[in-house]
Amino acid sequence: MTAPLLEINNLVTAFHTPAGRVPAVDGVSLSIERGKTLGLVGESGCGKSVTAMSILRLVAAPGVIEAGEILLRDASGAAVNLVTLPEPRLREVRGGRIGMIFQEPMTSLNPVFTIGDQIAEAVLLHRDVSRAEARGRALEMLELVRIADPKRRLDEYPHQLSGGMRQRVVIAMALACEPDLIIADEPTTALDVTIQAQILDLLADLRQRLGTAILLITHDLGVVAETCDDVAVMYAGRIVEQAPAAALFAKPRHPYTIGLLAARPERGGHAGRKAGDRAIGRLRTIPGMVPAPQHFPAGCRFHPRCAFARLPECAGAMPELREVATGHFVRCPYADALGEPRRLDEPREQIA
Amino acid sequence: MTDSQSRHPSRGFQSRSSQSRGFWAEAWARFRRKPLAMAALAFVTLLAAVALLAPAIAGTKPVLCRYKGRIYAPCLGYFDRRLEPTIFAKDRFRGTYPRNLKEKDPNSWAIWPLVFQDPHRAVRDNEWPGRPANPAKDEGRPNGINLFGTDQYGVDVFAKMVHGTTIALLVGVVSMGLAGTIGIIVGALGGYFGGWIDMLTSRITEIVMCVPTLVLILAVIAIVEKPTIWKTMAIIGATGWTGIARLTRGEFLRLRQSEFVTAARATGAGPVRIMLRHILPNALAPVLVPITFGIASAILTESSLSFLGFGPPPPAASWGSLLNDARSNLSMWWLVVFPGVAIFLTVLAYNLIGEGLQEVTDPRLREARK
Amino acid sequence: MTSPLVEVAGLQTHFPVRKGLLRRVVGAVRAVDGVSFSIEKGRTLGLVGESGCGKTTVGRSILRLVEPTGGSVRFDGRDVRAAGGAELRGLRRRMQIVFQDPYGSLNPRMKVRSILEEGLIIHRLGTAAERLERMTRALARTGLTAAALDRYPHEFSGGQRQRIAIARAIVIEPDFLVLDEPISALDVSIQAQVVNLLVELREQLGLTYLFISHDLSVVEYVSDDVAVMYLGRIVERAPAARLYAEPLHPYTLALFSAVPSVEPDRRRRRIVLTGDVPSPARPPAGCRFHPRCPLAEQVCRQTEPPATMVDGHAVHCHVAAREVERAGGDAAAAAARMAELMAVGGAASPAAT
Repeated sequence: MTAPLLEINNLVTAFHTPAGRVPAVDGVSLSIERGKTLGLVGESGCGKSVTAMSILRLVAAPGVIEAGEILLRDASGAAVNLVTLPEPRLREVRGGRIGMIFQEPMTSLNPVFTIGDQIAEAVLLHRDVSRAEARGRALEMLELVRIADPKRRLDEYPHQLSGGMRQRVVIAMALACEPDLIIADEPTTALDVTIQAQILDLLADLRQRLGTAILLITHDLGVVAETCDDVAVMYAGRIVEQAPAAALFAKPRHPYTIGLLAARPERGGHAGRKAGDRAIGRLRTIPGMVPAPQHFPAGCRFHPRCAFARLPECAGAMPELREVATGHFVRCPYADALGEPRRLDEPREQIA
Repeated sequence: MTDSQSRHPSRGFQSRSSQSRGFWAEAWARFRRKPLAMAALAFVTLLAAVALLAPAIAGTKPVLCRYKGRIYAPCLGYFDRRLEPTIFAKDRFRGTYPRNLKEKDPNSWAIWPLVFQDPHRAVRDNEWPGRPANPAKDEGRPNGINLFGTDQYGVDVFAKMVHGTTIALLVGVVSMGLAGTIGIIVGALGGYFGGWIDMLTSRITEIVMCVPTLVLILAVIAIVEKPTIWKTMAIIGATGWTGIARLTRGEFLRLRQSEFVTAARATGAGPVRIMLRHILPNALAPVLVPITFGIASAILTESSLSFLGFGPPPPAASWGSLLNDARSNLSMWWLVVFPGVAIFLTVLAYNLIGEGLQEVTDPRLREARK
Repeated sequence: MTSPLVEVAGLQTHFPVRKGLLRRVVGAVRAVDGVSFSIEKGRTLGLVGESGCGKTTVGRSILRLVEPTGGSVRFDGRDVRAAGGAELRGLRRRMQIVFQDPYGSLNPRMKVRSILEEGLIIHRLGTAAERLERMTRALARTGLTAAALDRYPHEFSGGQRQRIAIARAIVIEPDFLVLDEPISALDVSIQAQVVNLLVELREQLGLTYLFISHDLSVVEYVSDDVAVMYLGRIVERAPAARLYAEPLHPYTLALFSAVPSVEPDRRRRRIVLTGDVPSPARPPAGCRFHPRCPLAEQVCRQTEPPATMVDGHAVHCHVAAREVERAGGDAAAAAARMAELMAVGGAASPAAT
């Protein structure tokens, strides 16, 4: 197997606020293979977006990448470290070898330029082409992302498009320079389900046709399950579980992942309830709330909310991320015991 | 087990800092960390103290004295003539206390102001035992007795300035108090009710905005018989509320749509309650900022007026009218420098306070400066 | 059977579109355009649909937080639209609302005490001591302690704030709650806590809910009946279990299939709808869904489909009506046939517009 396209090793990104150092990302390691999709899942404040922003060194002011390396490899396998890369060369990577898609398509498009201009601009920044050629490329891209009547859309402004259409334009911009990797930060969160389905469909199709690797950041486990090859689950600045998607959803092994999956009411899952008869059980919950980075607990960061925590071990030392099955990494000493297969027809209680 | 834990989701906040601070307490805590704004605030506080204690700082009337067996505070006469005990007029003091006190009651004693100088007249020869009369004309440059020098008539500039502080502060606070009240009411009505009320208030605002304040004041002064500083303040206030009204309208328009206002309506709250309890406290911070800047500009307006000779009538003297005196004899540089610096520092202080206020209350600015 | 607590008939809420200097009305956004349903006491109606379908406006129209422009709303037999001043205030004590955004719905300048007490003061409920007791009880019911009273909203997390918002709603002891996307702004691990809380409160206090959400699985879990809205209209309505087991409307089918699932066996073939939702200012003629519907026929473009009823399951669709008739009133068979048609039609759909 060849070396991965992107390799993050022990990334630490902290924010230096008046209240002290806030380690939003605290030792994250990830790798993405060429042409694969990696899902990075977690709740707000877990550090998933900061991880993504760190890759392109776009972390805002008080945030500093304190340690770690981010290696981006080209086709020949030669790697550059994005953490130490000089700014001018990093700009070539941004939008060139790595494209970015943000959550809110309206704010990532400039309202005073036509979408044709904006896509062409992205091309001109990275390719030595004429204006006309760039415009041609923009048209090509709009066709690629299946926008109807692309010639007309080229001269329209962002506010004239619907939310789904805008996100298609953002995707077109991200793809304009044929990047090796696309970082998509909650690309469908602001969209409705039927539009989300269109966009996910489009991303999957583009990946197949262009061979672009995708880092998909989301809080929606369903989206990950349907689109990703591999999944990394983040909690409180750390990766707690990482595995191929199929393995993770069939056999989640970290208590947090198990809790997240169980907290969702399943479709058709109001078991024991017939029409008119209300015998609803309770949803399983993860007690407490996500800790703020200033208040990360000692030891395993999930232990205060964990249903399986055994004191004092879990409060003592941070457990290591270890491989419990092929390619399945879990940061929990009891992962082996927790890996019960999870099936719909089984009562929920069995998980515990 | 998990359920029993989830029943106590309040555990989280209880472990946090026990202090529960509201918006203004938070803002104050942030304001305190801004050295420039704090220095400006200290300066304005100092000015307020000077204005309040002016008769005790510079004057020729005792702060406190014992005369014929009773204790008096003749210095209050500087605030209002009627406050000066009548016994001294009856005993024909004619405003000259040090000699008269001793002559008419050998047992008397007095506590004198820090600087024995009068803001309204020149101190005469030997009025204070052993001290010569104030120099007049261009000989009155600053010296040990007349700290900031004297004007053409020999009146002490320091004393004039100390007593002029009251005007400088009053002009800002009173006119902007008036402007703030009008502006907030007009803006709130337009922003909250919208429709024809908004149409009406917006048009009125636009019309008032077209009124040139300075020209209006000059016209009024020309017409009315007795121009006083209060009339000037009233006009500055009555024309200076437009910006505040516009801002308030915008805030009310925005907050009217907010969910907590909808929630209050769902609870059954009426418009008055919603405006006063829900919207106004949230709209106040952004409105306070232009009010602070408005104080600075009101002080400037008053100074300009006085400089042009339309200041408060004598004996009251504002800093601006001192500048006016300097016009007639430019070699008396001290008549320009001291009042000029005072106006500059005061206006600067209010602007710094306004800017600090904006930074600590506007969340967007706070983000930007983090 | 008891009479329904909430009865909505032909509800219309149009927002005028004004233009120009004189602010002339040039059109209307038909946010809600003829919606009817009723909710019996103690039951929960789930209202699902995508953004812009008018579900939020329905909730606010019932409470008259926006003024309906047509139709009728009855609460416990009383005409809400005709209620004025004091009567409306009285009705508002019995109908409360919880909003989506727990950051926007709590006044940042008020302590929790003032937030909770306001309703009690407005409706003159109890003395100061009784008010404190009611507030403490409401907080306890939502899983918070009385210590919260002297704190400001910003000192709480999103989940806790939503609990405070719920406490504010129940402290004046209403009968009916409009829950407008109450969990959408919360983290996944917190959502389940709040859903459980709402279900508990319903049982303990005998509350009636209108549960508005775009989250289909949560709606299914919480609701007795579910109505699906599209572009200002209800397109399908049925008891929850029936609707989810046998969806009949093409839009419902597409909506269900679009929700990503972690269950591999539930990951059926996705029906990808073409295009975007049209603007409610210019709704299409005939069936409002027809421009996006893979099964649209000539009749769909011209005539608005009436309700077809099959065992308490109402659907507004010409094609579904025909399939129901063809299946001889067998809803399950008709639903299976609709799914089949959609799978074929959906797959053959042209590129997005």
